[in-house]
Amino acid sequence: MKTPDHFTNWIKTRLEENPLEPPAEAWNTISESLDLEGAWEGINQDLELDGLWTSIDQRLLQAEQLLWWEKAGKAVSGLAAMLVLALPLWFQLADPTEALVAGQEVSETDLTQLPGANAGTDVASTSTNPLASPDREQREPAAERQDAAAATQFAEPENVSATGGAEGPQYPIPPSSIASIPLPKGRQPRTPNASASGIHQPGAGANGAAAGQGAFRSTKGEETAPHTLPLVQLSSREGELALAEPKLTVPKTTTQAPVREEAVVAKKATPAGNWRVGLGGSGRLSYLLNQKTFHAMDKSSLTTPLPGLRKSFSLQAERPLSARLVFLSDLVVHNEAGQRYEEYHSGIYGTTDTRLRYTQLNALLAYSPSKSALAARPYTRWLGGYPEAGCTRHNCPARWGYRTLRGSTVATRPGCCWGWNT
Amino acid sequence: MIPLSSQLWMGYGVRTYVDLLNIYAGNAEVPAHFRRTRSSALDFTLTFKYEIRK
Repeated sequence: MKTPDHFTNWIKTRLEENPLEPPAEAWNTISESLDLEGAWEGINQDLELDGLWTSIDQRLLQAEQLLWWEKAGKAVSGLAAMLVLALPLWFQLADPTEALVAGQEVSETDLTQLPGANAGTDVASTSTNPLASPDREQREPAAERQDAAAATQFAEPENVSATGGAEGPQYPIPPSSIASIPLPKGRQPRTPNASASGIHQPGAGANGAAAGQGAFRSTKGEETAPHTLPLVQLSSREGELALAEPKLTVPKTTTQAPVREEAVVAKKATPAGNWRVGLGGSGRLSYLLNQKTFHAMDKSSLTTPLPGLRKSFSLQAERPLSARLVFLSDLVVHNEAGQRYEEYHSGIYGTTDTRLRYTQLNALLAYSPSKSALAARPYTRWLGGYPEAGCTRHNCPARWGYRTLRGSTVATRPGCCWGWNT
Repeated sequence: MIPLSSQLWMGYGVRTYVDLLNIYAGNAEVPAHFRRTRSSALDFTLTFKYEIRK
């Protein structure tokens, strides 16, 4: 309750009850003493309009610069997005394994059409052998050609088939020739089981004549598992065969053969159904779609909506269901969403940053179009799934600080997810 | 996924989220427009995963 001011009331009452009128000259004297022109001039000087317009002009110029930076930022973001999308696709398109598999199929098909394949003749003596090619004849003397042809004679040239099974051709490799070929670091020698993949294997023929001759030796002379050379090498014209001594070099295709073997072994050694667990994080552009956002999108509105820059951290687990399909489960322990608004608030034009924090559980399916979800090499996949979230906190900070509302109502947030990743 | 070793994998990608229902149930302290708010997001993700082999 406000206390009455008795003195002010007494003065007010005395003035109102005063019967005397002030003289007219008194107002004129007061008016002259006010000096209104000088007062307005002083006010004009205090305003410093020139400086004010200069300041406004600088602000406008700064706004134009911000627009330029915004455009540059969009361009950079677009280029980065294109790079992110194109890089794994490039990995897939440049996959040497699939290209080699395709080349192997073509070569094996060609082999079935060799003149000596079904007739039981020596393939090295046919025109498809690069040792007998015209280029070869121009480069090397006849004596060396004969040595090379003798060294590459097939022990069992009959029944050349595209599948290359146990009945396939057997190509014994002289140990003295192979001993000089070191294994690439990290490459595993071929196992006998790999013969089912279509690669012809020496030393495992039906007649057993070449057993032990194809044993692969390291540079230290230690004997390892038998090694095979794909038949595609024999029909290659890019290089020369490595089977004969003394001046023959390793063809380019022999460096690709272990890569294919490794991929085949990796596909077989990685059984479907192994769980993969790990950690994940993300940077996020978040947007809230509500009436305020839609109103802010109006050009006449003084409010500008901007995406909120947020982050999330998650525990992830996935399990391959097939060669192309993978189940993913993400428990997002810290998941932020929100929106920024540039708006007038309490007479101040500032930024209002809304933050919503969630705990979220995602159940997703990833589809890999290239049958390589289990391969030990880069691959891409497409995501689709169902996220479920509960809001745990709502922060509504403005330019003067954060205003946190704790213990807010928990809300469910089912939604849909679509994405792409490597 | 990109193999870093025989059992360690790295992946990165892009995800989009769009909510189907309201983002927030609301209470007396929160502005009313959150009762009719949907959330959308564009995520740039980075993950590291370890393969458990039996």
